[in-house]
Amino acid sequence: MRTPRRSHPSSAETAGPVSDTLVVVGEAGEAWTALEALRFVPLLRVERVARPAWPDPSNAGTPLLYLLGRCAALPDTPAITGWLDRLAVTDSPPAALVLPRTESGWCALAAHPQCCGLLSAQPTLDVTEVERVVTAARRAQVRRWRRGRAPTGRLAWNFSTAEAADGERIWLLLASVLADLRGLDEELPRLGMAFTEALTNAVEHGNLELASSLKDEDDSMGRFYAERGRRLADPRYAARRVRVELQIREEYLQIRLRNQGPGFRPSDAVRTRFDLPHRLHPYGLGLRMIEGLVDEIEIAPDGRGMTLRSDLSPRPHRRAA
Amino acid sequence: MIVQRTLQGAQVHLKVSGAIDNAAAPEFSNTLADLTQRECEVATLDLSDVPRICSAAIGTLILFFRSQTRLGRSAEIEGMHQNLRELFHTIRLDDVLHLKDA
Repeated sequence: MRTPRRSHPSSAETAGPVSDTLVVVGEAGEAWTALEALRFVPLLRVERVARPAWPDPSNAGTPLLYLLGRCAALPDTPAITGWLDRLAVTDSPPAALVLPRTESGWCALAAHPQCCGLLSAQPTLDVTEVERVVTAARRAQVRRWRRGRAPTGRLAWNFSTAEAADGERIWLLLASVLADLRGLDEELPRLGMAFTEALTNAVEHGNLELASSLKDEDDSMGRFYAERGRRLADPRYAARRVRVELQIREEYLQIRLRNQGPGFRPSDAVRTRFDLPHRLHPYGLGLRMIEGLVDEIEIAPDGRGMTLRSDLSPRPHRRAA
Repeated sequence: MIVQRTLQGAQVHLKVSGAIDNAAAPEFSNTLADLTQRECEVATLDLSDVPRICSAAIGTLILFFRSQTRLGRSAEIEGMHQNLRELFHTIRLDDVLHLKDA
């Protein structure tokens, strides 16, 4: 179930539907935060690209996140300026926010000065030009990946716990990349289910330290979700990150997740998965699902991570989901 | 996720439509918890229009079935989407949850 699209009051909204593209460029976490503030839901394309001529060499490896989508309602100006003001007074990675021309002729372009290296952004730059630059950069990256024997590459994101708690949305991010690179349409639903389960584990049992046994009483689910919400709001847990690393090779696809929780004993997970008398326990199901959906699952020795691997070589008989 | 509930005396029929993913799981949990409190003797769940389900929602289902049994009531699934059927087979739950048309 997708979260219903949230609208945001704006003059554009009252003027009728708009069909414009919103482009956000920035470091992943920052861009998500901005999207939350702007009530922007659609997500079509995400890429990580090398940052050309970046002013700060220490930022050279910072991932950029491109989001291209349709905007049902344009955010109001205070939300935009508030975000930009925050960027200006912090050490946040450079970012640019481009709002397109609307039917009413309103057009805003705001760019952090340091973003010039990528966008050559000027206040007068037309949105179509920005789209062209962003799209060209994205295609160039894909071409670089494809220059080898097969479309291969490695992407990594560091999500806050709150961001990672929305596993479906994070999966959209990965799926857009996978669909572009390898056309893995057939594999994506299975991978998506496995990934969101793994991410849920990383968030709930990793960073939030929620014990599986909390779910084991008849009326416990409500309490579990209440405690989950409480910890998501607690900086001690919320400040932790989940790292997601996607590796695409000719013959396999690998997704590695790392959390910053205390870790668990991998042997416990194995026992939960295979101990058949425990099949009616309401926990440990995620691991069993993952195991059935991907070709290989590996739990980190310190219990703070998991690696999922799916074979991409042609096989006559794929297991059903 | 959309839930249609039909009550007939001590019997309840629950028709769920749409994916029960992590975002929908809490609502699904509340729905089943409410059924338990209503003292429904017979609960029938139709999951034929549920193409996807997360482990948390499956856990909720297990708790509900377990609770119904412990209270001397019954619960069964009368329809299940093919994706779920295959998933439940994969995680070996198809033989422990009561599938009416299995």
